[in-house]
Amino acid sequence: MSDPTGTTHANDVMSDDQTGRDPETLIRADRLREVRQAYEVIGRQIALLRTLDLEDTHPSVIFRPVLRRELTDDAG
Amino acid sequence: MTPDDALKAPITEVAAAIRAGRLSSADLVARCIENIEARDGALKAFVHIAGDALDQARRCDDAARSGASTGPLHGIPIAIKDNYLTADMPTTAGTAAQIAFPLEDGAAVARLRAAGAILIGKTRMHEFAWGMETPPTTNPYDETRVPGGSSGGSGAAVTAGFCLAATGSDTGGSIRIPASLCGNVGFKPTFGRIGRSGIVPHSWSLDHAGPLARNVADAALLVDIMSGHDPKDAGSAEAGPTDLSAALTQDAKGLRVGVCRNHFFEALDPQVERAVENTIALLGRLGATVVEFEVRELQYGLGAIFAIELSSSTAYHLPHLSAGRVDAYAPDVRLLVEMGRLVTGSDYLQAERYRTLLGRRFREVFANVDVVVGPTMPITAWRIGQKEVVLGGKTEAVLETSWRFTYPWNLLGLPAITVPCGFDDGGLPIGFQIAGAAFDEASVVRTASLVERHTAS
Repeated sequence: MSDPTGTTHANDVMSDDQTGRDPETLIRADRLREVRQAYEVIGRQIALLRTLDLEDTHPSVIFRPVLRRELTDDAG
Repeated sequence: MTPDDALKAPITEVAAAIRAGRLSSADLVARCIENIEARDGALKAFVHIAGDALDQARRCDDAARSGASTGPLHGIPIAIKDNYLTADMPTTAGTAAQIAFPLEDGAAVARLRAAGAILIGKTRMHEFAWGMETPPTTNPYDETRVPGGSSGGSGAAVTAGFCLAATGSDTGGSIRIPASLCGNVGFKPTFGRIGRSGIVPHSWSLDHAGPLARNVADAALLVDIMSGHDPKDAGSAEAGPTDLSAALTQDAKGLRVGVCRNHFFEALDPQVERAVENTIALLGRLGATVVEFEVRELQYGLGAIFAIELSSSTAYHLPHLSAGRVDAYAPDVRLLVEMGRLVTGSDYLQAERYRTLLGRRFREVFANVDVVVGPTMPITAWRIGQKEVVLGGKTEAVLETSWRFTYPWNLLGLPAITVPCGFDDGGLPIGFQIAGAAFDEASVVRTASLVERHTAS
């Protein structure tokens, strides 16, 4: 699927000290505490998922090289 | 056929009447616009009305008079969710942020136009499809309540007679939730069935396109029209369009109906539970075999969909996060986009590995059943501003409650529909969810049609 916004530009990405963002998360530093707090409920569900032993199960999203004849100008 | 008759009739009959000159498409569209003018000030279902809708309709009437070749949606007014790009109407994906979306049609919209549909306007959605409420849209059954989301404008517009059907998108339930709360039919076919080119992405491996409609036949027809391979969507299936019409009239003999007793029946409103159990019993009386089972691994699903949806959505919004444009997002959506930065890569991959496991479990299930049924949602439409609900003596965030029964089918990519199965004591609609095996939309439509035909409205 193509990105319909067409709004991604290198100029958009400013350095962290210019934006006042936490360098690790890119979240605005003054919001980091609130965001982490809100994430706690979700984090508990993800922590439960981590306890599941998936042994040799592969991820469902797999990279697949595309044959030349399958390529079109727009296909991902 | 009068325009008011048309608002109650299946699309195939309405389109046939327009083709035969027994109904004017212009009169039908004018009736929809009258309905919009009368009630959309309160419902706020639309963000844009096509200025040329009546002209489009008059051209359809001219074509019918001249005997020109027409499609199955000839002269039918269809509303488009505001995350589907359109060549002749602006797209905002529900955001007030300054993001320029191109004026062009994607695959699904192009197919609707080619079938003769009149695109009457763009419906309001929860910003970037990241929520279940669609403010400020209200529910046509009770304007103090939410219509659901993220395709809430589409759900409200279909029920209020603003159009004959609408498009939606569904990442964790965003077609089925508003359809359930607004009392219409919402259908998310198999992942990859309907091309998503020209639909603003939310979470690439979870996003599905599909219709919201007044009845099962219309929902099936719209899937037939919108489905088929889309070379511009990397997730598109190598499959042709569906033909679901035969499934609409089949009986229940030989149908195997699965009921997953864990997860899908936990902590739900007693009135919802009663309506759903009655519907399962009805299918049994009609001749279906009911098979009960459990899938214990469903308990890990919420963590998995959060990990995938948060990280995927935030990957899409990363340029906007980096540039500070997310500060213009609604507070709830900005928070979700920011939280996606806290999901680790290994958590994301654990979730994708879990999907493989869950898919294996449900392939085993679908070896023994044709469909899996249950409630679409644990509750009916909640009050605007309500944050929590008490179910089974436990307090739960209403937003967490709302998608509990819908998101597993997004993780699995399997077809799922909601069809009305009754009302609660407050007159609010209750949805019955039916899911099927991959690319077996026919069994889903067959079962939904049985429920619709045998449930008193």
